[in-house]
Amino acid sequence: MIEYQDKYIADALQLISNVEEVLLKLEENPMWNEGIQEIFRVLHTLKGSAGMFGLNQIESFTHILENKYHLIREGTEQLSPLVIQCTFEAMDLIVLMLESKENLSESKKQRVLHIQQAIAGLETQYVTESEIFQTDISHNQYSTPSQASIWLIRFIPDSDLFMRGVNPMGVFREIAELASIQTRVNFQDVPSLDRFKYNTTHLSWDLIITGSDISREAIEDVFMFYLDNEYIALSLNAKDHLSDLELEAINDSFKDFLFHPDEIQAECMKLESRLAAAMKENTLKTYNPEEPGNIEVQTKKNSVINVASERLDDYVNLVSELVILNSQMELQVQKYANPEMSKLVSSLNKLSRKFRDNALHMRLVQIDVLLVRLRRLIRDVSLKLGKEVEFVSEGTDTELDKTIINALEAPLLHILRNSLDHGIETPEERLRKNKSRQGIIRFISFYSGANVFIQIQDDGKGIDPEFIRTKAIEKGLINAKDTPDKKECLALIFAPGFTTAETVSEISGRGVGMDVVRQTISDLRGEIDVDSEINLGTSVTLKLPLTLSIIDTLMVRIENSIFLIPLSSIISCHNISALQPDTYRRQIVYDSELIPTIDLAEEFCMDAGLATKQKVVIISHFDKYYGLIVDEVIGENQAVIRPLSYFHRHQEFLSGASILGDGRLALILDTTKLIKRKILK
Amino acid sequence: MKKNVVIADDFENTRWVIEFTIKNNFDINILKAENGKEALQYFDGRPIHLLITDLNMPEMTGIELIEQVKQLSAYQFLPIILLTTETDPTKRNEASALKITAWIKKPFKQDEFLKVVKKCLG
Repeated sequence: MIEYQDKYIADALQLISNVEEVLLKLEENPMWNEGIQEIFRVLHTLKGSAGMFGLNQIESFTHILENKYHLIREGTEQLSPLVIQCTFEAMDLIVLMLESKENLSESKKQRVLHIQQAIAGLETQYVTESEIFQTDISHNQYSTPSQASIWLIRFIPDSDLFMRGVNPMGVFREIAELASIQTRVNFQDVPSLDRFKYNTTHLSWDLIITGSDISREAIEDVFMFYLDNEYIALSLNAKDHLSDLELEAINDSFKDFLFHPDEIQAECMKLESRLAAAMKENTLKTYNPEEPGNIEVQTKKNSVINVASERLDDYVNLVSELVILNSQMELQVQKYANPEMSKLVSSLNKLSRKFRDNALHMRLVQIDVLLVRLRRLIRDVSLKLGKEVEFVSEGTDTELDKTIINALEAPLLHILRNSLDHGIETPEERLRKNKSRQGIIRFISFYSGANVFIQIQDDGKGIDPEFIRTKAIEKGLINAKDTPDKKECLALIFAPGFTTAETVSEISGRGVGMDVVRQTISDLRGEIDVDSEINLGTSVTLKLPLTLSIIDTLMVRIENSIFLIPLSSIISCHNISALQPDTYRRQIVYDSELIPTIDLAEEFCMDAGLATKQKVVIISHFDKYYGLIVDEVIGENQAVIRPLSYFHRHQEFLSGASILGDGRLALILDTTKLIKRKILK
Repeated sequence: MKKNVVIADDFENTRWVIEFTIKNNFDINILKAENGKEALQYFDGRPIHLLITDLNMPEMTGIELIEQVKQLSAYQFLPIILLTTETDPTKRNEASALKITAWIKKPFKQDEFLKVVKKCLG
């Protein structure tokens, strides 16, 4: 609940800043219809969610404003400056309430009250603009202490105090929150030990409370649990210290008061000077009539700036251009071998690398922004299915590119839905299998190299490869003769049109799921893998690049063309002759294991025959190695990925193109697709 | 360790509202009961920090419940909030004699209710 509340607060603050922006525009152009719509929509959202979290005050006054904007939207009323002012005030008020929750200071409470009155006034239409203006001034007054008050309290709790379940310490604690307090204890009634009763207080107290604007209600509130005869409170006005009348009152009802009138007088003077000092401080800081503590909060808030994502994209694009330009320059410098120049270029190189990293970091978002929605889904779906599920997340501070995070939401939801529907069993079934009643779904994310891994594991019934095979044959996805191994069977769940569900349910089983998930992930240049043990559970692993626009690559030559292979998948490069190549089976020996190879020249119809080829690049794909045969390994290159043209976009093995330092074009290989097509087929 | 609060009310709605209100504001464990008899079962020696009970309930009324609880020495200083729609002063006095901590009149306002609960939980 608390977590959702924080999320609500964050969302609400974002909404409020939107409203303020719109309001500012509306002030210039009150006839702007979309603006009015937008404000109406936001108010509605704020109201709804405030109600859900028991923030009734927010609910009640946003309701009034919402009604107002409804009328304006309908054209029944005009948007007056008064309404705009009230909306601004209301937004301030919500921010105040959200940030401090229940701990509003006295001065803020006054302000809240005034804004509320102004808004309530909107409804009755009796408030004129000058009145609003006045309330504006008055909360400045309220935020400075205006009335020094001093209270004398005699606190004699009844002997049954403890039996009523009341703890007298609460009184002192609450007063201390309200004002400063001086107290003396009366021990007179404490009996000798043999007559001492453990369930009575035996004590009474005399208190002097000094502070600003302490009302009788506030005092009564503190003594809420006490009867009228258990305490006497006398209010004195500190302004002119003690009048004769007040002194008389002290002498009369507080005859044996533990504080001497002179002491009270001294207390009054102290209070006066304290308040005067506070007043002076406040007038100095007219720009901020709230407590000084607020300044800190505000500067902290300013340290985060929201930037429109298009601007950030522009920035990344510009940095990409800079990187390209930089590598072109490097090439020129190598040609002319000017030492001065090359020094400059190498600093430029460093700088542009920093720029690049910086630009990428700006786009990174912690993965936990997804979790609220995932949790919500698990909650809803497990309720619907009558299953009990615990959701555990690890490594949620892992950061990923914002675009990737956004694109991940749908696939992750889909995977979770599958886990809940097909993986986790009902509580009864789990108990029969000697498992705990509650299923566990784990969400784990971590970095590895230039990649981020996300794993979703459940401890459900797992996937039966044999079952998958039968279903796949049924759907005509594979031949009845085929005998795929377990891994290949599991991979079949990503085939288009595959479903195991007998009936299509609301939750899953339409068979348009996992292939779309795989498509989305591979569009992100990621990989997806599934592993499962019957009755132990299933784990789906996503491997994702940190970012989409710039990658580190290895430049290789095949015949006369340059290709780029993403460094993240490369293990090592070798002379092919050292790896005992078997030309017939197209295998080489690597790490004392036979691994398959792909001759890229042959693949791209550029040349044929292994004899002329020199090098092999070993790449890994989910713990398995494969060799790519090339003519020459040139070196590392930081590539800015450019999408291919419309006509070339649908080919199989390339993920994009990049411009080299010398202005030539190089194609970027998509090793995942290459391996899947050529070897796993 | 979380504090335990016992709620006794024969209306499910009221129990739910109280639970929701309290859980939303305090990190607290809630034990719910439909009547005094059920509520009494919670007083089995475990630490309980607050009892919120309705006055009129079937099986065992709030007053009977309070009397029973007060008999148990482990709970004699337990803060008790009595919820009631009752405005009849004689009934009120009857309950006052039982030494309860506070009265709350139903229907209550959320902030008023929370203020009292907060004071009771210290």
